[in-house]
Amino acid sequence: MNPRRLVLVFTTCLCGHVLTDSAPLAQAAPAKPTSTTAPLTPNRNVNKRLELWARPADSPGLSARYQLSRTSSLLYEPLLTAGSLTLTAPDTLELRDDDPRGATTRLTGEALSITANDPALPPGPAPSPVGGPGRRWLQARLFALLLARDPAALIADSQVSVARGPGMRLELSPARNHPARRELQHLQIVLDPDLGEVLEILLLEASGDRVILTLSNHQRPG
Amino acid sequence: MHNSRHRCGIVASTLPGTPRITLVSLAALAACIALAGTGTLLRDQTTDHGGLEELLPPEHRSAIGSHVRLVLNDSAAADTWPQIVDQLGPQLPGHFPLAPPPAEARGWIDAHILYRIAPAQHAALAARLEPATMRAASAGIHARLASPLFGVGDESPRRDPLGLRALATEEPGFLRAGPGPIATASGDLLSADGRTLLLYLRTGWSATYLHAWVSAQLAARFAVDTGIEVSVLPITVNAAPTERSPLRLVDLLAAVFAASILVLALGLRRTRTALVLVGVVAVVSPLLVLLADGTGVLDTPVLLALLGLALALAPGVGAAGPGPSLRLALALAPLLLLPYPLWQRWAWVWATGLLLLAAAIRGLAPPLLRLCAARPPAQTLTAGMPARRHWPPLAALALCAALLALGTWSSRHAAELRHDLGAGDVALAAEFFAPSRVAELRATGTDEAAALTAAVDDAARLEALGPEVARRIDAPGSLLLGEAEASARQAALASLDLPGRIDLLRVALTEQGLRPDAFGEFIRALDPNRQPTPQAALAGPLAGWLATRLEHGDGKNESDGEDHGEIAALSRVVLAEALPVDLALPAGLHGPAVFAHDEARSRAARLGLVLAAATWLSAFLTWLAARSLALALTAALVGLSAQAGALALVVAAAGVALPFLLPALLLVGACAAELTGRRCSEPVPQDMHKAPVPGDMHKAPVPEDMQKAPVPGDMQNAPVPGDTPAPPAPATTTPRAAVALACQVAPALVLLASPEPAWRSFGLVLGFGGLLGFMLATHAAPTLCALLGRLTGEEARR
Repeated sequence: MNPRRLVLVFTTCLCGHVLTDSAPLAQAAPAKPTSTTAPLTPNRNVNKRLELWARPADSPGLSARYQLSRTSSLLYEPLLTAGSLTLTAPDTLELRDDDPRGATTRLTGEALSITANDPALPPGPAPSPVGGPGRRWLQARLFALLLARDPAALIADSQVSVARGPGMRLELSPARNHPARRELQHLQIVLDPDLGEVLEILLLEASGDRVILTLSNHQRPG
Repeated sequence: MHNSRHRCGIVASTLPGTPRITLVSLAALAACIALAGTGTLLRDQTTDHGGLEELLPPEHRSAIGSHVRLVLNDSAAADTWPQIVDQLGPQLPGHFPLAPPPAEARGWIDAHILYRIAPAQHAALAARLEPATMRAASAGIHARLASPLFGVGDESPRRDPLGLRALATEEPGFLRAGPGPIATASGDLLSADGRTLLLYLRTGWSATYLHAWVSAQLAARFAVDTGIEVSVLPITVNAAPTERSPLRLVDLLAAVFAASILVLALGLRRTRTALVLVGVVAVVSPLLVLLADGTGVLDTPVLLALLGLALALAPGVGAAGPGPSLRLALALAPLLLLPYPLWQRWAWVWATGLLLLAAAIRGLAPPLLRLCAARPPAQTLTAGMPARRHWPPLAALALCAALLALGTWSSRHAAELRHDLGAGDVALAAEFFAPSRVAELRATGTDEAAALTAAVDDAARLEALGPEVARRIDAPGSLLLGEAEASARQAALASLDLPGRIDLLRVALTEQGLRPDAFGEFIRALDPNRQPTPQAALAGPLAGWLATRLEHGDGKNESDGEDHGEIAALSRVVLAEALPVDLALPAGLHGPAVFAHDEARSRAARLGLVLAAATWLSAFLTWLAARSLALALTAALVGLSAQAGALALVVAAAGVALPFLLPALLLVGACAAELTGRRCSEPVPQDMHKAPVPGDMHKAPVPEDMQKAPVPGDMQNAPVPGDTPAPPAPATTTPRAAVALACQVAPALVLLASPEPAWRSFGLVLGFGGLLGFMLATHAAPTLCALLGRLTGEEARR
């Protein structure tokens, strides 16, 4: 064979080999964040309470009376107050104290407002639109608890256990890795053993404040 | 076939020569073998190092360091995760907190709340300290305590019962509540879901070493072996349009050399000549890589273009004489005007490399050709070719104008220079921040306190950018006040009778059932003698964090151990992804994002500057060679038009950002101008009158090195025995110029076939621009030159 042709064939093949053998490596897909929900497997007692809690589901809201007790290092004596709670699905919750010296708490979506009932009193600092991790965790728990609809939302980012004491008790704590743990220790719930309604919510804050919200006269429209 | 060869007058040149072994030939062969030995340096040379940081001026490059990302994957390590989050960072080398420790920072700010209130607000402060106001504030706290969500709200009654924060200057962003990451106790960042921890280690240690260190710490201190994924992400800013290519440099070189052999063998119809020419270039190429200090993603195409152009200028292929090599060696000189270190370096490397290659070819190729008895290149088939048609001058002018308009329009639609974030950086950007958006300010002082005092102004300048621009500010100055300002505010506070107000506050709190002792932090903060000065901070709870923000200069005296150099206080900011083009960032702010913003603002100006300089240079060099203004203007116009056309094509093809393509554009312009100079200088064949040329350029003076038509066999000045003398050169340069063009386009084709977007765009510019320049130089330039000759009066003077 003509050496010139051999060279031409060789160079052509070399060109082709180098160019076709250089397909780009598949680019590594960016690492996706892992699931935000802790993989929890509630035990049998927890499941029993979750089933009980879910009984009042499929209701667009809730209204109830409440009594609140706060024990705080800020106060000489525990603060006691009473009022009415109104929950409107999907994301509006209002707690209005009867006492004019009390306050009204309103949650709308992620927005929180706490205003004194006495309009002459100065307002507190304007809450940030989204709030810190503790507030977000607690808001999500309160909506899930009172709407009694979505067990997954209730136990998301949480540790669930059965609290000590009489009655149907459930305890929710921010997951160990969750930043809300810096603000909140746990949320203890007492359920009505027949209806599954939430009778009492005990909140223990990281600062040591202890809030007990006792609910009665539950009314669910529809 | 035989008849055809006779017609072309090349029979003699096709006769094989006799191998001539001389001392020079053997020396050339030995030199080539020695140079080939340096090729082993390229064996493992990859093209995946470097990147956008090579275009960044040193002061804008990110500090050396790595981010360490830990992800809690399963519950096995969940129990120890909180301890890891808070304690791991300080155990690692070069730990650099990404934020101040929140508890200490919050405590510091609240403890100096009085000094965060500007004197203009002191009237409002006095009103807040009125007895009635304090009673109402106490009653408000009592009322809001009745809310079950009071504890998770944004109110801090223990530290600010009177709402003085509302009067103070805005708090640093890292203390504001939000959906983003939060700072841990050691100043690292924890993702909003609490499962990802980000650490920043400002150390040059390798990723492998750091990974081993982190794993060892997890195992030894926290007894965690599994359940936590550790990723070490070195901070690098990569070129946006590049994917990491598996190609090694030798692969690309092999492809270019193979393509060049193909082109030369076909074009010259001399296989041995082609092999010798490419062989000489190949053995010199390792020296070029050494000269360029290695090649990376961005400059590998320039190296390939250099090799291709060297072959295009080889004797027997390109024009004779050293003139073209000297002129084209300056092709990248305009890059010295731009602030890209890589291209500034390549302006010199290109010039040196091209001259080196030209010298090597001229010195080594002739003896080697004699040694292998290569025949002179075959003559071109000009006799059978149709006469070249030159375009009418107006049409040529209109085409150039259209190309220039298209190029101008395209330059405004070119892709922006962006930072590529690798897979790991994408994860960081989604959960935390993009490392390439971090910028730093350095405030210097003779000692730590002076540096921190200077950093107070830096913090104010960063805060002035606003949250839309400055996503996250980490500035020690935001927590401090200078001595002078602190003294001025203390004097202003003296009139408020603060001790008396404290007593009244205690009474008001007690009246509402609140325990005054629970508000002790706030009451202590009302002491005006507690000033947030740098000296106080360096002795307070923030001292550890401030130490990480202070960089000591190089003036440390080893003998006495004292530091005599300047100390710099670092202020860091994470800039938003999209910055307004007209935004002026603070002077002294450095970082890749700052340079990218500067690039976006001055993109058109930089492109215009470099093209204008290149055009002027082409015109000047052509004028030096030909002493003809019309020719110089024509060369400049043709070069610029070719650049504009290539620019338009690469923009239409959605190519990469222009800074990556500047060398290709300059090469296109320089080659087109060079070819124009030669084309317009050569004698016009007799059949030129067929073209409607209003004036002939053959009257223009012809430079000495341009007067020589490419003489085949020029490299063999001493005729080889057995060779018949070469026939006279053809009257036209076009066919040989086509071979030279093919040598230039061959690397472009290799680049076009590569998987790198930046290389494809480079190849597109180089290939298409070369073809366009060739077409303009051969068809439009002569008539344009004639037209300009008449306009400038050169023709009349002659």
